[in-house]
Amino acid sequence: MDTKLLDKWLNGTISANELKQLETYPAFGAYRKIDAYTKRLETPDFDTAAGYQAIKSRLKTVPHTETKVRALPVLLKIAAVLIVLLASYVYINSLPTHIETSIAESKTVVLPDTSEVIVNENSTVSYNENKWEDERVVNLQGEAYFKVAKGETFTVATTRGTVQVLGTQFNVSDTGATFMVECYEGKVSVTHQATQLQLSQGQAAVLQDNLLVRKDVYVNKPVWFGKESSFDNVPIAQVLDDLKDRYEIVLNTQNIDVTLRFTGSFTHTDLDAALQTITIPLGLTYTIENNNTVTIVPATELD
Amino acid sequence: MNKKSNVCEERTYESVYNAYAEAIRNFIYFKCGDKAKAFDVTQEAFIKLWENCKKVAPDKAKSYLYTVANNTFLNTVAHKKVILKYAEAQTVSSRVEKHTPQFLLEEKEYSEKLQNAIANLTEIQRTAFLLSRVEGKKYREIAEILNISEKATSKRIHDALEALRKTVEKI
Repeated sequence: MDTKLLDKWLNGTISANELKQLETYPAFGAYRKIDAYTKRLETPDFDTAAGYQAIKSRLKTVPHTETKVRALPVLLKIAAVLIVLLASYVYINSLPTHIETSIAESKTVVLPDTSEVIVNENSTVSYNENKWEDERVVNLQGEAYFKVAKGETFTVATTRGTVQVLGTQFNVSDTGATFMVECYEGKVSVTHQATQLQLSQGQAAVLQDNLLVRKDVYVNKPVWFGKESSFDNVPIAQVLDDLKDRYEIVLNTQNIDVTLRFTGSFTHTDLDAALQTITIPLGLTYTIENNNTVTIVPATELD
Repeated sequence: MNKKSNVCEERTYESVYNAYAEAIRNFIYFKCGDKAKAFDVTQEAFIKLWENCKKVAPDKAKSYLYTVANNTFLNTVAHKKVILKYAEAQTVSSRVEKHTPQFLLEEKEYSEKLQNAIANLTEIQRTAFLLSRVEGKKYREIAEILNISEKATSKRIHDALEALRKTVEKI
């Protein structure tokens, strides 16, 4: 049977033509009879007036439930905004200050008590400025040099150990396989797991086979600290003077053009490498004798 | 704020009662076949409307009433057999020549069979079918009352018709 026509018939919107079509279905006769009889069915009497009277007498005893949507007083709104602002301010302030260095970069950080931290490359230093008064703690990953202002204890926390100090200067290196603390001034106490080591000036603690070992330090600044000299279009004599001072060598020069100028930098940690970086670009060559006597000549002369 | 006519005003409330009370009573009656219970459920629905008149807009009162009545029905009413009575004065055919004793007997038998068949429909089929055939409501309105689609309404009524036809013709 065509259900669309049946719907139309049931909804009373069927046309005479459509009805004729519907009448061709055998079941429709039965439907029509059912419909005719069903329409005669009566629902029980309903006395609307009496029903309303009955309900009216009950209405007075039934309270309206109030809708609970109330506008906040203006003052409360302002207070709410202020609380949110204050809360976010407090939260943001409680976050630790974070300093990170990438490869070949170092940064100097002045802590709230004027202590100085020079952070070597590839390292992270963080501290909480708000809690600084209560405990001077710096978290370190990598390597950094500390110049601590006098005051209460100062703690450097690393993944492998903590270093506690009073006013002093020291270097902490927690990189790769090494964990090393070098003390340049004052005293520091290094703790690794259960072992503790007191370092005084000129001593270092190095982690070897999971034990802290005491060593001596001969420098008064960390080696990485300013470990290069840079020059921009500087006369050769000045560059060689600097080299002489850095490596404490005796330097002889022969037939060198004094008008040569040098642009670049040399390392403080490797004499051979330093000499190469200076001489090769300028067409010079060098020889090292007795470990501390260096002779520099034009490259052509040796041929 | 827009202070339009509010169901909390007694005059509005009374007009809502006059407009829908009987229809809602019938709706519940179609479901359970208990006249007294259907009336109680209807009155309870209107009391609920009065209680919550501040939350219910007048144009939403109707569907609110149907929903509340249906929920109350589901919670409280035990089902009875739904036997609807015929109007006594009417007959299907008014043609005099058919008023033979034979015809009247057949008609009476058929009526009883149909009454039983309706009583034996499922509740959802019967409610949709009677809302359509006895109350004369259109699909759209039935769909709204039952909270179903018009397509589902159509299906329920068709199924009811087919079930009735099978029962009536079988005996």
